[in-house]
Amino acid sequence: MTYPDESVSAAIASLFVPVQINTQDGSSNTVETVQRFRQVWTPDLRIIDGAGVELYRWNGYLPPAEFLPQLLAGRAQALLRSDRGDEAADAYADVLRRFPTSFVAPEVAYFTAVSRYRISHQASDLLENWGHVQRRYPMSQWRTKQSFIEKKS
Amino acid sequence: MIAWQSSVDGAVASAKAEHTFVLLDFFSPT
Repeated sequence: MTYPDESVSAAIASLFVPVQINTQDGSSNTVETVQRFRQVWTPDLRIIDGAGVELYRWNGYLPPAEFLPQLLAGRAQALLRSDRGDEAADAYADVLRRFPTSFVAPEVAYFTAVSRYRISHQASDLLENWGHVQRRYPMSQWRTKQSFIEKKS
Repeated sequence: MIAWQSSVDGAVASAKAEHTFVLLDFFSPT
């Protein structure tokens, strides 16, 4: 069980307005919400902004030790997409420092570089931090996603 | 204990007012 974990529930309570939809309750409200979000499989988690725009999503059960970094990485992406770049860079750095071996860590390392570059517009911020992805997470898809720079060096 | 809400639109309005985000969890009881 993920939500009874104290670190998970504390993060949700402090960082989000939480909504749960029981997809099996048969209510007209649930049917409308499932159709509205094109929901097809549970667990299905979305991070939505104050305009109702979906900024991040994931599917599938995660135990607390993986759910928490996934949740925080999703929030960091939501901040980045909300033009809150300084907060996003800090949030990504926090996830990477606390959960460097989590499943989501390579994605976090990739977007740590992106968020820092978007603040500084210095290529070195992007390339040096993507270099970290290459060295620390060589078998991840996120290393592949930045691998075009490796051919130039 | 998480104070889950049941209305997406209500939560979105709260998120806008609080300058934060909604976490929307679709689940199936097992």
